[in-house]
Amino acid sequence: MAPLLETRNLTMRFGGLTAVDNFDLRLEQGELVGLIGPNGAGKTTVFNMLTGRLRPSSGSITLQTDGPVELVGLKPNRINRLGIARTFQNIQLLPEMSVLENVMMAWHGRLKSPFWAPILGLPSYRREEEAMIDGSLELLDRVDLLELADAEAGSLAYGQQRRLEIVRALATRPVLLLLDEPAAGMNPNETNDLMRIITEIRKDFSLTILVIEHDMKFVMGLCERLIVLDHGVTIAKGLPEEIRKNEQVITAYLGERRRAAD
Amino acid sequence: MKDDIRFIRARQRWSAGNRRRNTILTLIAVGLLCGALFLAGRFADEYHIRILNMVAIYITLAVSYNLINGITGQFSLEPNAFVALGAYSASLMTMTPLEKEMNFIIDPCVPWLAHVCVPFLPAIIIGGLTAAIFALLMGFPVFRVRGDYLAIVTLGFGEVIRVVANNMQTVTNGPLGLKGIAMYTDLRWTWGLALLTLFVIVRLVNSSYGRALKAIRENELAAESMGINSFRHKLLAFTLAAFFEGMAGAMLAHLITTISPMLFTFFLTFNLLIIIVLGGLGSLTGSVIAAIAFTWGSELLRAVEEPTNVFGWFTIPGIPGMRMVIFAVILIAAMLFWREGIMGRKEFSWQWFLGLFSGKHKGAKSI
Repeated sequence: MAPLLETRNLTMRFGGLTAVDNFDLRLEQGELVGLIGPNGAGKTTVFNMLTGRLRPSSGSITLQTDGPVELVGLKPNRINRLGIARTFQNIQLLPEMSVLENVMMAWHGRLKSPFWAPILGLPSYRREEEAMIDGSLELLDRVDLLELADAEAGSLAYGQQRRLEIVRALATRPVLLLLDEPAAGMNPNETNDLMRIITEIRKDFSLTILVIEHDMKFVMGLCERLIVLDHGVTIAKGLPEEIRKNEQVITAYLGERRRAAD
Repeated sequence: MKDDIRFIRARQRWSAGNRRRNTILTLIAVGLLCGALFLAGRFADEYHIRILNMVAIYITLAVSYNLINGITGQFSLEPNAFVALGAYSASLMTMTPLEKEMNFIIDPCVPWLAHVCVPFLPAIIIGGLTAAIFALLMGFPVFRVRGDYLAIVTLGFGEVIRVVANNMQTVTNGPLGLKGIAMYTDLRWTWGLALLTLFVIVRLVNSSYGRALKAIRENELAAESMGINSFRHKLLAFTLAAFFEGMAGAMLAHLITTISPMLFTFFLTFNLLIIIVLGGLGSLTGSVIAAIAFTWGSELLRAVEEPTNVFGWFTIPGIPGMRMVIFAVILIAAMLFWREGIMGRKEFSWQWFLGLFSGKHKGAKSI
């Protein structure tokens, strides 16, 4: 069977700098894969290319839904509708809207009613809005944010904002979820909660997940497979145990001099 | 946990029950307004009726301009173009062939327009549609840019329309303008349009589409990542706003009965900008309040432009344009002390209004 997502020779150049060089990725249905590497390795650039935020300099991205779809050149909203949702390294919520409205927004892309339906107060639109509210509340319940449904999203604590961003991505009904440093800035308790939530939603929504993370406990505990980037080049791929012992990876993270001193 | 959901749903059903109460209160308020306007139409003098008509036209313009500038957050400077398009196209529709012959003295009117003559209502709709179609076509190039660039590009388009009106002698009669347009507009038309505009735009803003527009304002990156096509939504807001602005332009032309390109300069846009900024970008209520205050206020301030005798001691000569100086000062003061405008992003709600009487001050609902 063809993989859910496959990239071939994905390359991103900014002027003379090659941010990502010939990145090859095969994601099978249901996998949870970690993308790691030092700062500036090009991890977020990969996400931006996968979600249409950046147009790759060369290479291809193929998503297998009903049939193979080429994603290069599609707009971010189109790619989201095809089934790829993401969260951001620096949280991107709608800070002045309520928590519930933030999640309800994710339904809008699938809305069938035309814009004049709510103006005329058509029952078909009202039903869609009801379904939107119900679905959003249920999702908020899953990540323990139900009590905060009416709060302003910007007023939430950091960990809660992270969870809200994940649940909002979920509400777009993705097949592939891209998480960009979901545990950044969280304390160990919050990280544990997050790991539990990710495990649960992955099972319940039969998701494939690609995650960027620096927290090694998180990565080693959760990911089934790892890909290591350094200066845009894929330096290692494999099981967490193998990566932990990989010489090149240790060099990339700790640097040459430190190893020489050992 | 299921109980919590049930609890929240119950709370929402309760607010849905309030919705019925709100509808009734709104209908009563509209009824009172209609009654007041009826009395005004009966007993007020022509000068005050003229002001009331202008108030309604400015409400229409400000609310629709706020949809694109405040709610969607796309700072644009083109409503004078849409008002001009609506005014010209509707006027050319209602003028009789004889009137056109008398107007177009330098060059005759183009044949396909010279013999057209339709009643007022279809002419208004044609005025609105002309503006809307133009907005739709204009939207494709202008929404490729954002922020300051969008403001500059739309400003350019606004000027282009005025220059075109000035030079298309055989269609618009050039700088001579159109004279002797029938005065069809009365209180029923202007306030009917203002209420229709408010109804449509408030309903849209409170729907999923309105939330999408606000999402684009607050964080376009996030909105697009959630599957919202920001370009199409901007185009929707822009076209809808242009439709109402065009209709308001048609009303304006049939109220003042003489139009020329001079009427649709950037000054018109600037006045609307003052209104929506003063009322609060993103607050439709604020736009209505500011439109009333601005229109009425500029009439009251006419006094400062006329020679004034101070207690018989000495006479201050009238200074033409003094009103605009005072408006500029008010605007600067508002920007210093009232940065978000009168209403900020808050909207009027019956909940808040009734709270004023029961002593429980809950604050206006933020949208």
